[in-house]
Amino acid sequence: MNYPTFFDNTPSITLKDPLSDFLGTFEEGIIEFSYLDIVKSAGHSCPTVSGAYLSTVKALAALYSDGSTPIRGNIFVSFKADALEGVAGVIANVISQITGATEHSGFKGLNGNFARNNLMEFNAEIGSEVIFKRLDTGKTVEVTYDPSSVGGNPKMQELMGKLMQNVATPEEKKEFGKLWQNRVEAIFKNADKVITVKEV
Amino acid sequence: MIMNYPTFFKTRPTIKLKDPLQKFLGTFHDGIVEFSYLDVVKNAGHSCPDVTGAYLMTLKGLKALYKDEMPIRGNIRVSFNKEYTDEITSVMADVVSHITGATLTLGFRGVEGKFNRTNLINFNIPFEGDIKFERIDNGDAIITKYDLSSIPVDPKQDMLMSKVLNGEATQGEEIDFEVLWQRRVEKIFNHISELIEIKTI
Repeated sequence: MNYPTFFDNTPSITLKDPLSDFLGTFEEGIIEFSYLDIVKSAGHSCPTVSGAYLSTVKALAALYSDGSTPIRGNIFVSFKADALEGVAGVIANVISQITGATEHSGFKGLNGNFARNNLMEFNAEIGSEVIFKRLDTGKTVEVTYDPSSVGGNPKMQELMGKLMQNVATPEEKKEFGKLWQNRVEAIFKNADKVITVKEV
Repeated sequence: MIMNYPTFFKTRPTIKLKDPLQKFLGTFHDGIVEFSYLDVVKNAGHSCPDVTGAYLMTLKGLKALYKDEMPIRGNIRVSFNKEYTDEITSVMADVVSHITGATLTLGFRGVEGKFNRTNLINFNIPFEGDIKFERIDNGDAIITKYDLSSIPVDPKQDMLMSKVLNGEATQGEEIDFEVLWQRRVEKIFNHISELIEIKTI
């Protein structure tokens, strides 16, 4: 499995999962997710996937600014969009993989503990595209992701069109992939500019 | 803080697939993606007989459907005979979705009709068995059945579990429970071929 080297240089996310601890899965429930983990599952690395990843990194840092480790199962996520709308599902999958929060699927709990369903909602009336809430303290943050300041190479559109019409040469296919991932890398480098987190 | 877990998570067979979307977007060379049991356990938040069963049915099911070829993400339709809110079904569906890329509503919706990952998991489909895997390109289909009744639960396990859940377990009992629980999962991995049945349809 070969992939762009910048995947390994992006920040990872460490959480505690009480269910993992309970079932002897991870020592003290400590689980670490990397951008590579997310990309494997999503099936691709793109500005939407990296945006969802960075939104989660920043939102958890803000929610747990007391220095404690984020707890899977203790984070509720709301989306303004419908689950079927555009890339909402892609974003939701990324956030679900990291936080464990699901709408209907996932573990249903044991004696009232460890449930992972009913921790995600869509069509919420909120001020930003997505909000994260800590269930133990009620602390809530709005997250906005705007990658428009990180421009893509103008050649990308033209190459993408060629690829979709099956008229691209192998070199053009490779170049397109490279330019695409260059933009994703640039988004990571500008994480502080593209993500805004506001406590509400 | 370091992530520590039973060593068998990493020594079990992995699942390699090709993902045409990965290739298109320059993500993985030739689109080759490899999943380990560790990957699905992290996502599921735990290792248990259901997560293991879903992992092993996917491993065996894809092998049966693709023989020596590499399975293609986005070309695999998955069906379950229960509702997606069913306790075990939803845990298993998440594991299968993670590996095959197939989703019900979430996931990538495609570019100009290509690479769509939604509407690839069906629930409430009547059939005998646990998970049905179907290749979209040639229509080949198989049903996997998972039966772990031959792997006994240690008699102490249930007693320890309720003690832990009730907050009455000593630290030693907590550890005993964790070890017994994961030992059973490891045993399941050691008896894959006896526990997973595959029926071509």
